[in-house]
Formats: sequence, C-alpha cells, structure tokens
Amino acid sequence: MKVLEVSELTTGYSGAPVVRHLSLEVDEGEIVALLGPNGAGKTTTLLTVSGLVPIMGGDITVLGVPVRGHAPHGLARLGMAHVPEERALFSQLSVRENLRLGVQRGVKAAQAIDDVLGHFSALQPLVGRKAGLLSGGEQQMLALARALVSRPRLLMVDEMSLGLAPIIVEQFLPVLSHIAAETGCGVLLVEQHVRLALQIASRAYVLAHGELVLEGPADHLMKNEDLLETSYLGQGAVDG
Amino acid sequence: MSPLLATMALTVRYGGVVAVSGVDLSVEEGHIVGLIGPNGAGKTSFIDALSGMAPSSGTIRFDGQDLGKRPPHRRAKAGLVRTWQSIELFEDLSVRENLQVALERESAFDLLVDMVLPRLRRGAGHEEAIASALDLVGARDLADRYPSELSQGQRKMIGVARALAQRPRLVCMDEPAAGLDSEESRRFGSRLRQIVQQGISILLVDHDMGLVFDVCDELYVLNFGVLLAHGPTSAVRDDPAVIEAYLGRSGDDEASLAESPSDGLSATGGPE
Amino acid sequence: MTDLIVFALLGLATGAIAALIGLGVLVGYRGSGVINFAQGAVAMYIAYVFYSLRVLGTYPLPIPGLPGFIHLGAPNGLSAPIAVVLSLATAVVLGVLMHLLVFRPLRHAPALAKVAASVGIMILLQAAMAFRFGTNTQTVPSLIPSSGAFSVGHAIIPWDRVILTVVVIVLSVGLWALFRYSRFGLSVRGAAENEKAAILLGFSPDRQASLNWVLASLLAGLGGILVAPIINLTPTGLTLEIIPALAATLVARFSSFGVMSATALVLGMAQGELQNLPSKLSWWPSTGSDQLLPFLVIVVALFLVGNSLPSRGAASEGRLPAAHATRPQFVLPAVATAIAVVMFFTLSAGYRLALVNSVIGAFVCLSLVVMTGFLGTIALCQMTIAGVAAYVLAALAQRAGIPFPLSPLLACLGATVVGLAIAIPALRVRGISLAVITLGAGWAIEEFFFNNPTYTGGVNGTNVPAIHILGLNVAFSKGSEIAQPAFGVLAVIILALIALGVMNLRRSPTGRRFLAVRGNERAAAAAGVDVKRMKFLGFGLASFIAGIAGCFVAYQQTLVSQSSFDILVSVSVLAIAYIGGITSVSGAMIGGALSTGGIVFYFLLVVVLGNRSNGLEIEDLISGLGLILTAILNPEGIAGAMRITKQTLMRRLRFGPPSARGGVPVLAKAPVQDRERELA
Repeated sequence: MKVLEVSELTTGYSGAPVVRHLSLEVDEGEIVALLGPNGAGKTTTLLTVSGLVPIMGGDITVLGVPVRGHAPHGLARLGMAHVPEERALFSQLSVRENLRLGVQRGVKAAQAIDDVLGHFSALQPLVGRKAGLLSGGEQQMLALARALVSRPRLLMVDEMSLGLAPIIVEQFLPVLSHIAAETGCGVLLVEQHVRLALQIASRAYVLAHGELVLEGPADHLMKNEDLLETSYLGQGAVDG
Repeated sequence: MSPLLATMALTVRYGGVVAVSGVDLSVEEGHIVGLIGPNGAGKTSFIDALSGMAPSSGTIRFDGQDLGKRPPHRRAKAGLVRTWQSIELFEDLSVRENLQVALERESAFDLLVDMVLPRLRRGAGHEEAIASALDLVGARDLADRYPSELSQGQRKMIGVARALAQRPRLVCMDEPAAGLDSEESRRFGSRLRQIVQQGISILLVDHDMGLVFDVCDELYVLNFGVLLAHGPTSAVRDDPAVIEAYLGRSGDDEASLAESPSDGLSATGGPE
Repeated sequence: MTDLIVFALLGLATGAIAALIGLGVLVGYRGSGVINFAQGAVAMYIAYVFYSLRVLGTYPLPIPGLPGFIHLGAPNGLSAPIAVVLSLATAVVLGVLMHLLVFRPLRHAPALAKVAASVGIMILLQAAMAFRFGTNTQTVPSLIPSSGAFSVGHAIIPWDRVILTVVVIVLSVGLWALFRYSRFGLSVRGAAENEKAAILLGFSPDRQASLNWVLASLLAGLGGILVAPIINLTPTGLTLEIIPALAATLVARFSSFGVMSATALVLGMAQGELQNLPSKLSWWPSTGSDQLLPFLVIVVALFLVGNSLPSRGAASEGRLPAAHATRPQFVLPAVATAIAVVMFFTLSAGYRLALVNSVIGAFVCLSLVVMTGFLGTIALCQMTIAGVAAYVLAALAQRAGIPFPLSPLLACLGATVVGLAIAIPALRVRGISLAVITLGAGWAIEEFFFNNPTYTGGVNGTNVPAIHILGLNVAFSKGSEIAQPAFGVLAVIILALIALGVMNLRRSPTGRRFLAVRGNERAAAAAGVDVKRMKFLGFGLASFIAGIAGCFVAYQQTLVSQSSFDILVSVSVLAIAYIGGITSVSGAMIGGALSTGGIVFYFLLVVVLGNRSNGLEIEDLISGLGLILTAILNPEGIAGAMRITKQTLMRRLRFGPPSARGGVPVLAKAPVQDRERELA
C-alpha cells in the first residue's frame, strides 16, 4: 500500500512556485530519499505534505487521505510524523516531556515511550534532562524518537545530518532501516549526505531548481555518481 | 597593496555555541570572493559579524580602518554593506523609497527642514543613482512597486539594488541566488560581473555552485564554523575535502568534479 | 511595628487582585502570545455581574438599546452560590467570546493590532458597566467572612486578607502543576516555544488558545468576585489593577506563576506601606508614591530582563497598517481649514466647543501618527505628555508671568523632554513591552505628579491666564460666551501648519527612515540608518505635538485639572487615532472629529439622541467597539478605507473591474503570506 502519493505537485510561497510538477510516492516499509542541492525545494515539499504550506497545484494523498483541506494538526493524527529541518524540539521541556507530547491520544504514554527508547539507548539516561541541554546528536535522536513514539505509518525526516559530524549520522541511519522493516512505516528522507542516504534508501528522487531531474533505484544512482554531482554542483562545474 | 577587507581570527559565539571559529579571510579590491559550505557551516553568522549584527571577537580591518567595534550603521557608511538571506526590504516603502533610504544621508536639522521646507532636501542626482542601481539588477521598471507586489526573485534583486544604492566598497551577499531558476541565476552571474566593473567588490555566499564557480575569483570553504579550504576557484573545486563536505563521506571513489562527463544533464528523469 | 503589619495587610488585598489578574494575563499569554490589557476590566465586569445578581437579583445586559437587566425574581438578591456560579459562567462566555471574536482573527496580526484590540475590550467593558451602573462606588457583599479577625501581638489581622492570600497561593500552585505535569499544560508550553512543532505533533493551537482564554477569564472573574467587597467597586478601579499586574508579570518574565504572584503580593504590601508614609514623614510626597512603585518595578524589570523576554514561537508578526506617501496636497487642506474657520464664525457655542475639542483631539492623533504610524512604537501615555505641557504652561504663564508665544513653546519643549526620557527604554524595548512601560509611566506621572497639590494644585487644578496676541484677547471664553471664534481660528491655523509639516515628513528622507525603522530595525541599521537617533527624533516630535494639544486644553479650561489627562483618556485617544487611521494625516483629522466631545459625537449625542446624561459612556462604548473592529477588519482605519475605496472606484471607472495589484486584495492577503514565510 502506498503511504504517500504526490502527483504533479506545484507549491511555493506568496504565489511564487518553488516546486513545480513534482510526482513521487512512498510505499509501506520503504525508505525513499529526496535529494538535491540547497534551495531545490525539498523542505518545501515536506512542509506541503504536512499541510503547513498550501498546495498551489496537483494533489497529495497521505495514507489514502487527500491533504488538501485538512488542518495540519489533523494530518498528524492520521499517522504521519514529520521531523523538520530545525528538529523543532521543545527545548524548555525535558526529554520525557517531549516524548510524551509525541504520544497520540488513547495510547499508554509510558509504554510507547519505553518502546521507542529501546531503539535509542543513548537517550535512556537523559530522560529528565531539558532538551535544550542535549548535544546536537542527542537532540536529533530525540527528534526522531518523538516522531516514532506516535507510531507513524509515514515518517518524513528533513536533513537529519544537519550540523552533525558524519560519524554520528552513520549511527542513525540503520535505526531508520530497522524501524521501516519492523513496523512497515514508509520513510521519506531528505538528506544532504547523499552517499549515506543512498546506502539505506531503496529509491531516490533528485530535485534541482524545483524540478525533478533524476529518479531511480538507489544502487543505480550510487554507481553513477557523476549524475548526482552534476545535479548538485551544476553545469558550471562540468563545463569549467 | 593591502586587501580591502581582512578578518583575523574572527569568532562568533551564540551562548555556548561557536558558530564561526577563528576565520581569516580577505577580499582584494575588485574581486568576487565566494564563501561556501554546507548548511549550518556559519556563513551567515560570518556576514552578521562583518555587518555588526552579531557580536564577534577578532579583528575586522576594512579599507585601512578597524570596524570591529562600530555599530552597524557606521559600518554601512564606511562602505561595508550587506544583503539578507530572507529579503528584509522595507515593506512600507516603495522600491524607489527603499533605495532612497539607503542613499540619503542624515544631517543635523533634517527633521525640521523636512517638515518645513521639503523641497530643500530633494537629493540631487539621487534619481540617477537609483536608476543605475536598479539597472544593474535589471529591475528599472519596478521602481514604483511595493515589495508585497513583487515575486521572490524580484525581491532578492531589489535587496541587492538597495545595497548597491549605498555606494558600497564591498557588498556581502547572503544567498542572493536562492530560489532563482537556472536561467535567472546565469543572468545574475553576469550582473555580478558588471557590478565589479563599477569598482565594487563582492563577498558572495551561495549554494548555487554553478554561479559560485562561474563568477568567483577565490573561494573560502567553511564547515562547522572552521575554514576548511581556501584558494583560487579552480583549485578549491577539485579539493576532495570540499566534495566530501557537500556530498558526505566519499568511499573509495575519488572522482573530482572536473572529470565528470558533461552529458550528465541529459539524464533527467522527471518532467522539465 | 504594628503599623507596618497593618498597612502591609491592607495592601495584601490589592496585591491579591493584582496577582489574580496577573495569573490570567500569564495564562492568556502562554496560550496565545497576547498580553491582554483588558484582564483587569474582565475582573471588574464579573464583579459587577456578581454585584447585580447578589444585591439586585438581576442579570445585567451590557448592550445599550436592549433592556438593561433580566429580573430573576429575587428582589433581595440571589444566594451567594448561585450568584457565584452565574458570574463565573459569564466569565467563561466572555473568555470564549474574546477568543473567537477578537484574538483568533488577530492571530497573525502585528503587536499594535493586538494591543489596540485588547485596549478596545478594556474600554468596551468599562463603558458597558459605567453605562449600566454609573461611576459611583458600589458596595458588594463579601463571600469571605470579613468581620472576623485575629490578632498577632497588637496587630489585628482580618481573616479575609489571609483567605485571599491563601487563594492566590493555591491557584498559583495549581496552575504551576497544570502547566508542569498535564499533557494539556505541556502542549501549551511546547506550542508557546515552537508552534510549528506542536502542530506537527497533532495539537491544535486554536483549541489551546480558547481553553487558555476561558481559564484566564475565570481567574480574573474569581479575583473580581473575591476582591470587589474589600476595595471599592467602580468601573475604573479594578480595570486599572492591570498595571501592577503587568509589573508583576514582567518581573516573572511572562512565565513563572509563583514569581508573578509573590511579586504582586509583595508589591501590594509595599504599596500599603507607601500609603502610610506621608502621615509619618512630612517631606514624603502626599500622594502617588504607591502608584509610582509599579512603574519603577516595570522599568527595572524591563531593563534587567529586557531583550531576553521570551518571545512566543508563533510571533509571526504581520505588517503594521500601510503608511502610504501622498502627493503634496494643498487644495484639500486649505479648503478644510477655510471651512473650519467659517464654522467658528457661524455656528452656535455648542458646535464651536465640539469643534475646539476636535481640533485638540486632532493634535493628539497627529502625535500618534508620528509615534505609532511612522515610527511603529506603541504609546499609551500620550495624554500624560500633553498634561505635562499643560502644567508647565500653567506654572510658566501664571506663576512666572511669561507671555503667550514663549510660555506654550517652553511648555511643549517640556513635554518633549519627558517624551525623550520615555524614548530611552524604547531603545531597548519594543512592541507590547513598550506599551506596558508607557501605560505604567502615564499612570505613575498622573498619580504622583498631576494629583499632588504641592506640584499642581491637585484636584483643584492650576489657573492659566488667557492668550493675548499683540494686545488682542484670544481667550477661549469671554464672560459666559464660550469657544470664541478667535481662539478656534488660532487652534485651526496651528493645526493646519503642523499637519502640513507631518504630511511633508512622510514624503521626506526623515519620514522614510522612520518607516524603515518601523519595518525592520536590523535592515535599517544595515542600510545606514541611525536607529537610535530616529527614535529620539520621533519621540521628541510626537511629544512636542502632544504638548500643543495639552496647551490648548489648558487655555480652554483655564484651570488645568488632571481629569483631562488621566491614563484612561490616553488609552481611549489611542483607540480613536487607530480608528481614524494611525498612519496618515487625514486619519488624524478623522480621529479628531471622532474624539471625545468632538463634532461627530456632539452631533450624534446632542442632536440625534437628544442630550443624554450618559453620553460619555455611549462614546466609550462606540470607540471601544470601533477599536476592536478596526483592529480586525480595517487596520488602516477610516482614512485607509477611504483611500482604498477611492482607488478601487477610480480603477473601476478607468479600467473596468479592479486588478489584484494594490488596494484591498493585497492588503487582505499580506498576513497569510507572512505566515507562510514564517513557517517555511
């Protein structure tokens, strides 16, 4: 079953499109990478899926429900979780309190939190600490844990490696694979460490200047890295 | 000849976080110098420090003066001018007025004169200066519009024009090309060259590598607030450390960009 | 020692009500990022409802035109529990209404619109109760056994103070626990820090805000019911308790319930002591030192916490109303001036008086155009500054005998100095915090300076001699004939000159720099604008113009008294300036026409409604309501609406249907765009 279907999406701000005619989909249990240079429109795409940026054209369907006309907070209750670029932690609240706010209504908080902390053992001794006092890696862990505690069926993660040393990122990505395989959650991953992203993703889409320029199986893109570099570093690099 | 701008050990701290750490950077008169690096590398913080918007330690020498302790508007008057990533135009003023604010100088009794004899202070030559600044960014016909009526790309260009209207020696541009499509970005590149011909130097922060490689004489690469590489554009472009900073860890592959086949762009998968 | 305790305990009652209002302010702020200046007025309103139910056995209806009261068949009043339940139910409804009708539509509005709207609620509630119950003090039966007392040593301590203090402490602890442990409280705290994150986790900020406003209203209502029996219930008394409450919330940095309540209680006790000092120390100022204290606390708190005040994550501030440059206009102003001059020579005294009031109002509105419309700072003490000029004028002209053109000029410069002093905190503090400072400053100056007989003659006022120009008597009244044409013409001419100056200013380099500072201080500094200098210039000019208004009030009344300059007048003047259009000179002129005792209301009340005794309350009702509606629907005020209508009409005449460029559509869209940008 498809957990996310985006078809012919055009979106942007103040009437100016940032993303044009984008189509992509994410299956249950699948990890899909959305790649591209800065300013290509990846973050805007995720924000549009979450309902935080209005759709200008095309359609988005999350877990079979059209996003159009849905209040953003209602989408979260459908089973979608979004870890935005800036992580959006509540820095004044403790780790446990952050996690508690991720738990959906009607679910036993303590149980759900314990389940997720099983994946992130490094967070366990820190549950009483304010989120603002965590290190960058720990914060990213918490952001991911808070998204997972809602037991999502679609998880979107934006720039997980932002500001983190690659060595730390390498520890994270396997968790995502594990969760996708175990819970059947579909994952849409925006990532600037392209090679790392392609290691865990099954497929990838590459955006440049708001348009889809490349898509295909991850291993294929891995083998043809020159294609990626062209879309990242532009034609100037190639010509020069 | 000493450079127009030279920073020594420039450091920016926010609370406990070191955003920029001991950066030495210089811009020669008449050069376009690129400052690049992945997201969160400290590029905007660096420009904030130069323009006086963020407290910094270290030295900022500009045009033979030490600017490090001056308030922002005095730095602007000294000729060190910036643009903004999120285009901070004055929304209440028309495009022309936005540029006028940047052009006009304050004087002792300006409030009184402005109220009583408004004609006295009609700036001579301002119209020309505004027109030429707008021409440089190709936006002459937008003079009477209000910012809220402009597209994102147009707003960016007006931000650049406003900086140029201040008659700067050096403009620090924070992601001026973000959101431009490839054609617009190419046109912007040629405009930057025109600007330099007018005797203005540029420090360019941008993620559009096509633009940066195209126009910059020199590049500085920041990562985690530290200078990762520095040198002529061609040399930096081929630096494996830089490629790694952008694409993540390189495995056994040491491919340099210059070796990339030029037919790469034809492999588009989606609709154009 | 005994005295110390007694006066501290007397002060505890005011401390407790400030604390309860402050708790409501905090809850409302945490839930929606709005500082509700009407929180004291809510307490007052509910206290009146309780009074009406308990004493008269009636439920008061606030809307004029409808029957005033619903009789509940209990001529001796309802029983206490029923009255309490009905009163608190009213508080709930009031909270929901405030959220749905006012604060929800203003979610993404600029701080100015939010302040204006909450001030509108404050004026509206206060006028509604004054309209129904008059301004006389009402005695409310106490819920707490007030007769009981116990003694510690020689001091007699009434039980009600103890119980009130306990209530405050229990509520503070309860709220602390709610926001510390409950899922609701955590989500509100989270959303206050990062609204986007809360939305992504499935929380509705709208629902949170509405619950918080209900809670805030309940707290204020409870405070009103409990405290009204102890202090005297008047429409203004409880309303102005917002000032010490705001002082305490500032000390608590808009977050800690405990710190806020403790500060409010201590502040109340200190005020109690200060009230006692004049009788002990002969050199101590006879009045007002107790009211000076909250202001000092506000200033010190703002300087200490200053920029580090937590700003809410949702602070996606929309734009202030547009301030468009107009082409130089001479015909319209000249015609308007001529018409006004002709009116002074032809109309009856009633109209002439109304016209003088309008001209004076227009001066104040003009000063607000400079201060708020151009410079973007919210000032709630403009009449106080005018009052400073009036009293300085009285001192110079009467006591020192300085003649006409010089004495008012010096008086206006005196007002300018006070304005510049207020500009100093404005260099660091902006938006709502500045509104709080100016409100506190106005109140303190009024209580400490204006009301002090040694400085000003107190309630008896100070005489001001008539104007003489070249031996010509330009007095406001000659014998029984008031509003002399010569006086009116002088005022109109000066107004026309100042208005022309302000119009010039908007099109000038300095005016552009004001607007650049208003729009974006950082970008203005980067564009070479000296932001500090601009603020001093703006405050100085605005204060000077307000000073002119003050001088004319002094000349008109011949006896300067503080009632013309009290803080609620300042607040309603802002309301009127905002309704007229705070960003343009024409708006100020409309504001003048709408001002208290001005021509619009003279026509409405005297000519249409036939001279009713409660005209003042009706004026306040209309301006309060108008302020809220303006803030929500029409931020550019009447002048802006007229300009847009004119543009639309012209365009229709010339090009057929209106295009999307300029005018209404763009303005209507702006806040939405800002929100998107902020979320991105």
